[in-house]
Amino acid sequence: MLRGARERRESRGAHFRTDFEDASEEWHRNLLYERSFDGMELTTKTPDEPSAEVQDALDAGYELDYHQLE
Amino acid sequence: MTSNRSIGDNPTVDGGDSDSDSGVEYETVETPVLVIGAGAAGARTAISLAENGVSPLVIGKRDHGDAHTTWAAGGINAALGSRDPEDSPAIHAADTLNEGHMLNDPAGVETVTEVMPDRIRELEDWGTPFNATDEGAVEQRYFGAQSFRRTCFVGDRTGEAMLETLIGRAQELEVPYRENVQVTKLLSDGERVYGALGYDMNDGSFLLFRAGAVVLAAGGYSAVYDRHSSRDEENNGDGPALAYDAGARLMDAEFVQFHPTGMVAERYGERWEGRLVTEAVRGEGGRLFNADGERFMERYSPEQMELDARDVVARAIAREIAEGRGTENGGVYLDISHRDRSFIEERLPSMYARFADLGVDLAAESVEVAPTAHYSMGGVEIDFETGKTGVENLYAVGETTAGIHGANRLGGNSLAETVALGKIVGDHLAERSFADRPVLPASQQRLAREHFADLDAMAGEGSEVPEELLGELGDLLESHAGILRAEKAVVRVRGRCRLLADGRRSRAPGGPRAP
Repeated sequence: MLRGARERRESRGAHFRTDFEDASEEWHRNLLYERSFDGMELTTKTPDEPSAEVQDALDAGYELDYHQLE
Repeated sequence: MTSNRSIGDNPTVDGGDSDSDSGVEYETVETPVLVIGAGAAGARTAISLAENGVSPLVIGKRDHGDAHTTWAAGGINAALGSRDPEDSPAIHAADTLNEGHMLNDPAGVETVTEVMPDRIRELEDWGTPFNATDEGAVEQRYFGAQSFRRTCFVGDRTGEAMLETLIGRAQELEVPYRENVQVTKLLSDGERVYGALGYDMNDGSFLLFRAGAVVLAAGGYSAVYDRHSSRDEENNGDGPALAYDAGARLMDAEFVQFHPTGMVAERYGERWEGRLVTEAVRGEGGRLFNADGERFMERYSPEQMELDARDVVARAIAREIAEGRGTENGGVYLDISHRDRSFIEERLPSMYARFADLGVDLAAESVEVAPTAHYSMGGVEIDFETGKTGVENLYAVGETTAGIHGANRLGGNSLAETVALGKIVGDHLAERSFADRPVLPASQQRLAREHFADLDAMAGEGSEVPEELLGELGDLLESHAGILRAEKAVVRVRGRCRLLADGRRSRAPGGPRAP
């Protein structure tokens, strides 16, 4: 957790860095944590693209009207 | 699940034996599939196995039927379209990806959203008393950041009702269950898992589980923070830690969701530290004030105010407290006293009753709240078609895993994930044959004996009190790697954690294994 919190030099979702307050396109990546002979090893990977159907739904920009919240 | 039944009584589980050649005695339990964790994810996995003729053994840390799932109040998402027919699994997936800031595994998300309507109908068939519309369809309500009314619910006790249903179904299928077991290590050579080691929390005796496959359904890690919304012995990272130790990869561990409004111990007592004041209090008009009496959300989110996304409100509260505008108990005020008493009693019955028991009248005064660690998005990296981790015979499901929620979880998706993936993992495992399990390799037998000897050495008198070490770790994480983080603070806390860990190695923690 601490390694990741340090490594991710951006703010995204629940992770907020007071020294990097904005999201960075470069960090559109997942951090992976694996045990190795030298201790914990961190690598990154880029998430897959959504399917065409879900991409269409994303592009349609549906959103909640907050004032309807119960 | 069959409670209070010793494993030896069950014909589907090979009888145990004991081994004392190393000087440390332990009981051996054989099972085709060991499911670690007895919440919704573990129960749903076990149901699929049992329905397909494989009898797994489910083990849990608590009394049967009392897993953390019961604390999930809000609801469970499925694009049924009871209220909004234009909703669809694809839009549910899009909402999930948006809230996860596009770090989610998109195929995994789609798998969950596609099967959820079936999972809800199945739960209904098995007896979950979902609230219904006048036409008899499953009722659905709005929830933060969802485009349509999609969240199914059973009053404000959805998780509890769902777990009752799942356990009832597992009992019908006579799924063997053993309670009060703490697992401390998986039997693994880094490439393949053979079982698990642990102890009985009642009497402290050691247990070796020999299994064809192990499913980790042991929850998340939000409770490593000092202020958290789980009970103390839940969600303390067992699942991801066991997997990591066994050689599996973890992902997204830096993402922890903080709920904006947890109760403040300094005001309401330790027992209530971090427990949730439901989002509905804000939904019904509750306002947040700092110690100066300022409605500070006006500065952070003038449009949406108290109803902005969880992470936005949680950060705003954390900033107010960090910058010295919090209460002397370390919180801010949440006030709904401008509403009529009858309205509060009708719309927020459980909150009204809880605070009344504490001598606080919600209709007349404000309550003190602060953000609380609530859910861990990160965890074990898995294949969403099977639940496989990178280690042979090791599977994971539920909050223990990473990938469905990305950088932030959409409300109502945690319960959805448990049943959607539980069935998938159980069905996959049921296709495997567990007929011939080779004998446990000598290296694994040695690993077991060494581990039990270590546990035994730790259980004696020591110079450290485990609760104090955990408390110090929780404080450090919270103040330096909580809602607001910065490079310097994170580096400092890592250094301090290393000192804590080194100290632990040289000075054995004291205290008994069993309470």
